[in-house]
Amino acid sequence: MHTDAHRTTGPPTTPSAPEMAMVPTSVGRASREWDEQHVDLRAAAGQVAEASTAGFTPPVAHAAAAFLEAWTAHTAAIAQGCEVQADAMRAAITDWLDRDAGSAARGWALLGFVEELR
Amino acid sequence: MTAPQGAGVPLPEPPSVMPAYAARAALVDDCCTSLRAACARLDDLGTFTSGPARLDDWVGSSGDVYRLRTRALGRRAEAMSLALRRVAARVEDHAETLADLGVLHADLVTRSTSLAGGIEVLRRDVARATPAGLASLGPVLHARSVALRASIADYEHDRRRWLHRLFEEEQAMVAAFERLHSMRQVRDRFAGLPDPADRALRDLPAVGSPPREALAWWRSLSPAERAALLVAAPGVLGNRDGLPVRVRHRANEVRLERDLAGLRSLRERGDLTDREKQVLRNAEAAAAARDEAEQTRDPQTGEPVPVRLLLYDPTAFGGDGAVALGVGDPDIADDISVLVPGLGTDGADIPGLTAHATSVYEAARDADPGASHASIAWIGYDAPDNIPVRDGLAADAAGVVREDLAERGGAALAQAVDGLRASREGEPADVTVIGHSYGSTTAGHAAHDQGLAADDLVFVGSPGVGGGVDDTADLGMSSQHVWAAANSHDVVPHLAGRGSIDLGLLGGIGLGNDPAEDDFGAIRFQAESGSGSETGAHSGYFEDGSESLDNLAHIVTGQYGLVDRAPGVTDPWWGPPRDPELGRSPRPGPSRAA
Repeated sequence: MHTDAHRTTGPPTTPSAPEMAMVPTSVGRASREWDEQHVDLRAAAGQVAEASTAGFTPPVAHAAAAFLEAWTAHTAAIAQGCEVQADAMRAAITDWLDRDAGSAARGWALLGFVEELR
Repeated sequence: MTAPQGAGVPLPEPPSVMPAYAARAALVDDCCTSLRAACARLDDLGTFTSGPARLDDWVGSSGDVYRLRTRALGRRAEAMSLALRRVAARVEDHAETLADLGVLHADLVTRSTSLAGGIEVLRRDVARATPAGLASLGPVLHARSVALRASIADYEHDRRRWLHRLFEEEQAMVAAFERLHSMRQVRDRFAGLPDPADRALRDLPAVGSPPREALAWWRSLSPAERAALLVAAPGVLGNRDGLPVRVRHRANEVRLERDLAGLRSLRERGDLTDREKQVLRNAEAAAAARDEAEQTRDPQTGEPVPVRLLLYDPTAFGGDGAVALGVGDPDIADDISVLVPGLGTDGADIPGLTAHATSVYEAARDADPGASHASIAWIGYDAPDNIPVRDGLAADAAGVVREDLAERGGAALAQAVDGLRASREGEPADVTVIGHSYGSTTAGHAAHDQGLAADDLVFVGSPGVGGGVDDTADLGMSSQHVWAAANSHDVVPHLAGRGSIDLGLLGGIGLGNDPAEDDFGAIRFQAESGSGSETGAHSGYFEDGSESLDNLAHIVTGQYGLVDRAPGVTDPWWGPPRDPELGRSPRPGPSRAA
């Protein structure tokens, strides 16, 4: 069960405008988790980039290096996707605050989620 | 065949030279671990998108768009994880094949050198022989030439086979890299496929179930499920007693590398929380201990000693961390020793404890070169933080020493030893548990409360072996297999209780009886260091060249007759305890430094 302090729908919920129904705090928390995924996957991309090919024989080392380079990019791209997701959620909260600050107290409570910590 | 030489003795053509072999299997294995660690992160994203990221309470079009994007990212992460773990498994196989080929290469080089030498000797013998001598020696020399030629033919055959095997392996590895190079290839092969780890985890026995059940579960899994779990659940595999140590090692390596990469990246950005700093400190300590142990060479063979990370949880015990490193391979060693540390130990102390385990390993191999050994530095319980001394001396946060941590630690220790026994496939190992300081209290509880499955139990610098233990009979072990070391300069054994009227230095602080006392029934062995320093005396039991380490080596290798025994501490009712060892000059043990 949500209390009013946590669950606040956006504009008055009418049959014509249900699209803004959200729980800003849970969206805010999830955005932080997306940020964590972004940080972790960016580190993973670095790990793939730094994986050594020194142990392979010369005929394999070239293919290994090409593979690692490609996968560094793949992993960095999905990390970027996580950051985009987090940014979009922060934008949604900002939008919600702009449209329906409701009360100053609720607005202040959510401001922390608008900033990107990581 | 070279030109015929005197008396028609032909000299064979020299054998073909083996090409240089540049592969380094250990580095290829490291590459595999890096791939798996990255893969584990992708797997985490897949889990996140199908769970906490769903936000089903976000209703409306924006919520729908969010979930669409989330599902797309999740599917992509899952396909990438499946693909990368496939490649990682192939790299692991490649490393094993390269290691095999390396052994064969060394053998072929030796054979080639030997055959070239044989041709040279034959050439000299033929050249030296006089015409008259050749008449009689000719058939012998000819036979040697024929034999050499046959050996060279065998060598050339094996050399060609080796080259062919290397070529095939290289082709297969290159193909594996090229098959999953692009995201399109990844999507085509893996999009929408179920993760084999999911089914495997559903059947995982509950935490705390007997190690044999964990082993049976592991054996029931397919190779694909096993490979999947290494990246999907490294923490589950790595810390599960009963699984083969080599599996736990692989899983813990994945988790360790994943932690190091993630946390070091945050540190570079100056973005670590206090909690993350603590986890990184534990992770870096584990990596440092592993790296240092991997420099160890077996004192008998000169070969590198296998090192196994058989426990790794940097977040355990409120952030103190749990970690265990094996110097030697516990899956196959004839003898295993388990070192249980004491007060003030947490996960970050693993380098020091591993140095002790390495000392025991080397001393054991020197004491019995015919037996293989594995020595485990085990920080698998939450040891008290401070030194427990009363009356103006140090005390823990509560000012008293309690046994509850030793009781819980004893249960974990007994489970760990059961796990080591369960996972072995061959003959059972002889297991010796060595509890140092408060670790001896923990080991005492493991024996008394849990029926510790050790062959020998050694208490070193013990402040007492637990409240319920009056003598060796209470440990459920033969007194011939319970040992005690107490340096007469070590203050910690004075903390132990000694009889009903305790007039000892500290009056017994409540951790149970002193195992070095004569009426306890354990075999006390010599462990003097000659050090007047109480701190040095308490920490010096594993020092190179000490009589204590020498005696420990004989105990863990089952050479009981070579252990130098010491008279126990006596405790007359009318006065303080008397230690007959006080003032005796220590006997120097074998020293590796020397």
